[in-house]
Amino acid sequence: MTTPPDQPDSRLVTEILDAATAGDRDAAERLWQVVYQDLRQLAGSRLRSLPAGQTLQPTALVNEAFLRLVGRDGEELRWESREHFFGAAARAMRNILVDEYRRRSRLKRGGGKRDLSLIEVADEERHQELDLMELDEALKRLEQHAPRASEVVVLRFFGGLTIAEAARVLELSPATVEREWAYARAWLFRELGGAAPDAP
Amino acid sequence: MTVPPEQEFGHRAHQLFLEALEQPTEAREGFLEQRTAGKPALLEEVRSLLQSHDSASGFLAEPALPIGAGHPDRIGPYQVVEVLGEGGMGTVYLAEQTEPVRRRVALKIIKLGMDTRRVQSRFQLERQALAMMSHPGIARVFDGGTTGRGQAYFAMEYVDGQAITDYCEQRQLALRSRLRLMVTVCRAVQHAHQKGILHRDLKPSNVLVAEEDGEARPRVIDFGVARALHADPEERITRTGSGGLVGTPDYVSPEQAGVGGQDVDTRTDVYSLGVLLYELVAGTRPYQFDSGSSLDLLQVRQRLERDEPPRPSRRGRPVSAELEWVILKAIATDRSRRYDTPNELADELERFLAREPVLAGPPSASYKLWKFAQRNVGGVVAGAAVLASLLAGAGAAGWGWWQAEQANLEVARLLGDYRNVADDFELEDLRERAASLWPAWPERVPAMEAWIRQAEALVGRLDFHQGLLADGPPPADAQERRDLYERRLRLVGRLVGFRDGEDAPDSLPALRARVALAHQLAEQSAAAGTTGWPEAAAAIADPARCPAYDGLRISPQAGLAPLGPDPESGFWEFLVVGTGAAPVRGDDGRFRMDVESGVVMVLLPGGEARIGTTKAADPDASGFEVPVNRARLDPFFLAKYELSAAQWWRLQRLGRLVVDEVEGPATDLRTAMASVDWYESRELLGRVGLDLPSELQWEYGARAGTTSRWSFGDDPEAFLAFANLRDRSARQAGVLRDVLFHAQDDGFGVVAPIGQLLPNGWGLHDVHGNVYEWCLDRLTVYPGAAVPDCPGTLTPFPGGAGYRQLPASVGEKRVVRGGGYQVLPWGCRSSFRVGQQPERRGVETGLRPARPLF
Repeated sequence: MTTPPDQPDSRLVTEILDAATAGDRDAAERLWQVVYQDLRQLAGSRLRSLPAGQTLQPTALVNEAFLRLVGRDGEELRWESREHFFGAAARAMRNILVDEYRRRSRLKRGGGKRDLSLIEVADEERHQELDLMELDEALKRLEQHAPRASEVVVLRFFGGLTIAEAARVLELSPATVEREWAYARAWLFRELGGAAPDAP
Repeated sequence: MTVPPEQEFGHRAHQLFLEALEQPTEAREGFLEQRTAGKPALLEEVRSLLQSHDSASGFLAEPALPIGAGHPDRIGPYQVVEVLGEGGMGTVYLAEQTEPVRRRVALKIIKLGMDTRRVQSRFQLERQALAMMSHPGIARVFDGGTTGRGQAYFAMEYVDGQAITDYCEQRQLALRSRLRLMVTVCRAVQHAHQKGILHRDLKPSNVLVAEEDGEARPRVIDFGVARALHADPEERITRTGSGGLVGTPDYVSPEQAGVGGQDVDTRTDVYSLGVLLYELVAGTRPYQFDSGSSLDLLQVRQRLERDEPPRPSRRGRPVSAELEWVILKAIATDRSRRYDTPNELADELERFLAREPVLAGPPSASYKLWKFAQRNVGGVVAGAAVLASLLAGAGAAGWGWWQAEQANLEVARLLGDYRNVADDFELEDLRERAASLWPAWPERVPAMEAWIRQAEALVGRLDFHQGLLADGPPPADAQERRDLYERRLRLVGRLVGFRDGEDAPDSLPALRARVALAHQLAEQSAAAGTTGWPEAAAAIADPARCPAYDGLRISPQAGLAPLGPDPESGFWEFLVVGTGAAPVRGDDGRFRMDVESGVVMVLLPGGEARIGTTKAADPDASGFEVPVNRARLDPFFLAKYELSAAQWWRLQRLGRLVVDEVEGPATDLRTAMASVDWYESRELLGRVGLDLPSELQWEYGARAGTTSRWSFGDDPEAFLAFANLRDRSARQAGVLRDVLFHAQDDGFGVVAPIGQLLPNGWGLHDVHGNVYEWCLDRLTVYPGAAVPDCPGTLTPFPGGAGYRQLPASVGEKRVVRGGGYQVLPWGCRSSFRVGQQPERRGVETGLRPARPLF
């Protein structure tokens, strides 16, 4: 079986993953690049070929990216590498989703016609009151004083990782991740106007 | 490294927050005050964050994207054993509970970012009631909780079963078995209703069937779950549309979709049970909303409001009229027309199973009129309103005589318009119902008499309509009145035809004749009951006298009169009452069939039926004829002869056959009826409780225990005595243009009178040649044929009646068997089969009736 031309060599990705797992920062950066490129491309092509009115399952998207990038080597991959991958995918997803959201808002403001996009799925289904651009901005502010808490949000919210998985990626104890998560949610919730301080 | 002051502030608040979380809740305030002494702003900040923490429970609780593979090992107090399934709503696990009892449970984890707290509180509301449910047909819900990731879960009794629809289809369950399952399901749902619990989400995946001790046990799961998940139906549908939380909206009742703005009640579950019943009977659902596309509530609502549900009998499988009424009543859009409770539906199904009359009937004329009015709100409703106001006004004081006169005229005109429309519908309705008042058996007489009373009242209004026509047509410019005038003109014409038309099977005289026929049948059956049946039943049950029946015990069969055993085959034969006279035997012991003779049915014993052949055994076999399949048939009746033209016309005209009247292609009415389509054949046979045979029944009868190519052996030249085929007589008749004729001569040019040639071993005549005979089944290859991916190939022949329910995707063609008068011997082999479009009337295609043994 030949590899389709647009598909990155899975061995290469596995090597990058291994290196990233071993602590190679360049490798981690390359991994992020590859995952981001691939997820973007995948999301774009799937969205274009999607019949009107249909929705895209983002889980399938990320899993597909994992299969494309890591391929069958994934089965032999150490769990640390696996978590690394999903960590990178979570960060990539944050960018993609926020970009999509931004693009869609622009279209809406410009009176452009209804455009189905990735974000719309997440938006309408789960986060009806959540403005992802605002969340993104708030996350950046959170990162200023509590980078770990911000990281936990990216992994948990954009990456769908469990507390235990996030703990492995961040090399922290689950209890710590749990508390950082609680802080991040409390802070973001207030920041996004969810719990306005009592009016004077 | 210096840190900006605001960042430093945030950092300290962050740290304090984390530490405060480690304190017991009640100690937090004291802890904070102590740690922030002299820094009121910091204290205020952390307080605010903790407050936000308390109210942010649902916030970001669900990932934007559910990525990351793998399943949890533990959920709450449960140990996960394996994944049972993943659906739109979430994942279902098989899990083990150890405390307080050790048991296996099904754990349903709700996937999407729903408000977990609201789900939980709604669940708690019903928890008490759920705990009180105890019914073998209901899987109990034990517990509900929240997982570590903030997802709601439900723990319920684990049922190792299959969705009821899959269960029935895979096992090719007979209709009666399906209905019995539904009765059990209805009773279970009724139990829950009595405890005050509605299901609200009944669908096949929530009705599982498990086999216990070889018995099918349906279980309803997820009671209380739908209620907890969806506060309002709107939520349910929109979620389905955007990603499939609930799966399919096909089972959603109109009121759940928002029709009429009503809340749900027990009839909501009745509706969903009705859809389930529809699917089990017809093999398809009334509506199939495309769950793949984005679907909104409005679309479902509009569809349910606008369209009548399609009739189950029009979806490909045979569905009797009564069962259809029951189904349509259960899924009526207007819930006041449904059964009030699942129990009523269950009772109705039991009546149907016991062959008692059902309570449901066809939609009435007044209902149709009402529907018509809904569709034409402008006309009828406005008319009715004007009518009402005029009636009220006419009585009011202060009106002059002239005004009153005008009002009366207006009232008369409107009343006339109303009658015009109403009677049109009533006539149509009566005619439709007439078609379902078959067979003309005595138990239907009350229904027929009710029909006649209604028809007489309708005909009684002829004068009224004719009176309104007396003034002649309205001026050409009054378009509306002209339309009504013309409509009334047509109505009067139709009413006269209805009153006098003896030929139409749905006219008033025809129904009077049908009642007379029913009385006549009752007399004949009663006579047979005292003379023929006890003797027949005794002989058949006696292995010494009738070894072939193996001690079969039968009770008198409605509409059949015993004629005695065939001297050659020993099989008992019966006259179908109402189809003609009992034939008389000639010197050779065989019946002499003439124009007056009725339909003779042979009681065939049950046994292993063989269908098909192999290429090795039969070089002429086509791919459709191989391989050999076998299944066990129940005893049944198969007609000794093909249906004759005389019998056909008698059935058509209810026993009032006047030979001279018949204009048909056949000059000799004794010949086998041909040029009839599959639908009309079934409809006509249904009038006397007959139907077409399944293909398996046909070949079983045709083979009469043989495995040779023809029932008379393997020598094609032997056909002369047995089969009317393409031979020299056919050529001399000049009807065939082909050059190839068989060298032999059977004595018949075209279609032959029934029973002229020799019977097969079971006393059946003309199974080879003469006319092709319609079978019930759709044509496709047999199970095990060398076409592995052909739809339907995997559907084995079921036992019982042998009818193989095949998906419509195999094609519409129905099987015809036995070959016609134009075929050469190979075309009338026992295994030979071809398909024909059911609406086609082939000159060579007729039928041989069959009937189950009740």
